Amino acid sequence: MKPKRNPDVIWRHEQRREQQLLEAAERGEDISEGGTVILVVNGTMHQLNLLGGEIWRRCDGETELAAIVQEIGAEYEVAAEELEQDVREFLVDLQQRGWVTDA
Amino acid sequence: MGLDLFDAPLRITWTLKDAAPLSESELGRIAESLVEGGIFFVTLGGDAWRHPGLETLIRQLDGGSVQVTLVVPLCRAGFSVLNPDLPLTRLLLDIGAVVDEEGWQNAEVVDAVKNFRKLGYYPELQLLPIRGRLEQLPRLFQVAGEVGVAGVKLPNFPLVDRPDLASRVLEADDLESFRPLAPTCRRSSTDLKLEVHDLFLWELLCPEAPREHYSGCQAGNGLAHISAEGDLYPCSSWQLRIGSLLEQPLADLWQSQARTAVCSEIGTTPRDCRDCHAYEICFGGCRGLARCLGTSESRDPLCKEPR
Repeated sequence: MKPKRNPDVIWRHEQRREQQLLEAAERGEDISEGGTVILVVNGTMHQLNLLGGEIWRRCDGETELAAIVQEIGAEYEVAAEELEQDVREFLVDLQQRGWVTDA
Repeated sequence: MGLDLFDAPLRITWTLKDAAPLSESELGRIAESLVEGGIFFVTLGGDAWRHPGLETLIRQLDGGSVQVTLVVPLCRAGFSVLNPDLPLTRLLLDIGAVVDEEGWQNAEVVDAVKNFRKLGYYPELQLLPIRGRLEQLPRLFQVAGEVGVAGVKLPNFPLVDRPDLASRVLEADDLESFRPLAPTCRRSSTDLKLEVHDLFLWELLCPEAPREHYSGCQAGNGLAHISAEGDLYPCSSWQLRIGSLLEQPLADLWQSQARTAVCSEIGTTPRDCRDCHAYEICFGGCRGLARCLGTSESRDPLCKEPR
């Protein structure tokens, strides 16, 4: 699968916020609700958390799902099996919302 | 109230004058800053429609993936100066000047909308709901339905650019007087996309459609305003100059103490709202109006009393 972002979805990577969240995570704080990517879909704003944002930014229609898992796994030292499951579930959700397709 | 602080605004309103004081190259510098900041939406108002640099500006913003809305006043010249193929996401036809005249005719609005359509634009209608205009809202919705526009916008009070309007900002009593007319508007607006800045006016017009995603005043966070001089403000109602976009990039101004102080103020419950059970719905309403017409501890002037 090569997930591809729906071009109708407007989005932005919040790099400064992401940095702040990473620093908060280092201090042991829960950052699961913190958004690092903002999406505007049909006028409504949504936010993706750190992992969701990492996945979303790689949904370019050229990167295979396995490569997405590998890249994120290497960056965050997460067990591959668990991460793949999370990525798959997240992408299914995005597909159901119509925010990504399989290129 | 927890605020998610953005790296840059999502939406910016930008007032232009027709020629002075910003040159085309100055507009270009500011536009570049907005593109770099990743702004999603820019609404160009004031005299933007007749600024000689308008077309270049719109194309520059569009090329940077910024969605551009242009506000054009309903007047004879309004449609004739627009190039037919501007990459606009939205065109708003402001009918304020017309409805202020006694005996205005629906046909004036209908004809203007049709003229824009001949150019390939499908305008929506806009009316600034200042005192004296609420009683015109039923007519606004009637004519919107008659000509089949997609939407109607009732924007916020632009006190940064028009401080003279402070005496015409609505108050709670104005809304009470309007309350009996609201059902008429609702009946005429069922198929319209309705955008109402003020939460309390929205409640009257759309009592069955709560703003589920509303998380409070977005001034200085998701929202910002640029004056005709190129100065950055938290929003068009909040008369606090953060700095000049001709002197500093947006990203730097957005990290300034002046801007973060705005967010801190919005995140603090105003004294006048402390015992109100509805605070978790309105979060103090429009903080710019409350502050500029009262103090940082005041209620939104359109809020009648704590609930």
